[in-house]
Amino acid sequence: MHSLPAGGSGTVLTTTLASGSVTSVTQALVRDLQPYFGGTMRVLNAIEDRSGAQVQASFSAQLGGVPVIGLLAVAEEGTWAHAVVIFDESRALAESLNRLMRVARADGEGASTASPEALTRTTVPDGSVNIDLAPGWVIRRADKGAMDIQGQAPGSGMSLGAVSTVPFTSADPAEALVIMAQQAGRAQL
Amino acid sequence: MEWQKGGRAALIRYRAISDEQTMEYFGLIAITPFDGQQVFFYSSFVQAPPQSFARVLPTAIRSWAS
Repeated sequence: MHSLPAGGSGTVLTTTLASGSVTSVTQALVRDLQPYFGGTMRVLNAIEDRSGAQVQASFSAQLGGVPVIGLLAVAEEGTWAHAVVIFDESRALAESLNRLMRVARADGEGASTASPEALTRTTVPDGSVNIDLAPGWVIRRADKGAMDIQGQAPGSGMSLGAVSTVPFTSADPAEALVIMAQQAGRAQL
Repeated sequence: MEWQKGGRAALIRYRAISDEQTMEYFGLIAITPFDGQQVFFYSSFVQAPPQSFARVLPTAIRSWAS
């Protein structure tokens, strides 16, 4: 999960998950959070909206021996579910809640309601293919239909159409991905 | 899912940590048998840090699909 700058006490965590039902995503989220809270997280109550697209829940936990309380929300956004977790020390949340919710809301609005950017048809330098790109996206390498594109957001990008022969015989794409990642030095997947 | 020439492919959402930096990925990975000792490895993927992945992905997918 990603921690957002909270601007004071408390914590705002966000993550994007592959969407199933929001209930199952919420249950998975709670399981994933248990190690963070040392196994002390307890869901106090949870509500799913009528459309089945959102779940909100309150919880208590301890973090480093300090009691905290918080809220979590999971919202389905097409193929993905966006999750937000807000918490603070039990005695402080009454004062920090509005601020923490503003931080979470600003992040969620940026993720889900931004207007689609206009794309511009671009021909790769070797002339092999065209691709529509948003402003700020730059083709860094292109060769016979394969290309690496740098995104506008720091660290973002795409690698499309890369093909290589590799010395293993796995028939499982996920296993192959792990092998390739380990060979590339991405030790954790 | 089935892929060309007897291969298999999968859409995979994953997270990788490299040089202590976490990156989120969504990609199409395909492998096709080659000569019994090697495979063709095909990949297309979108990547972004966790804090921007949800914002980046929709735009990237539109480019990818173009």
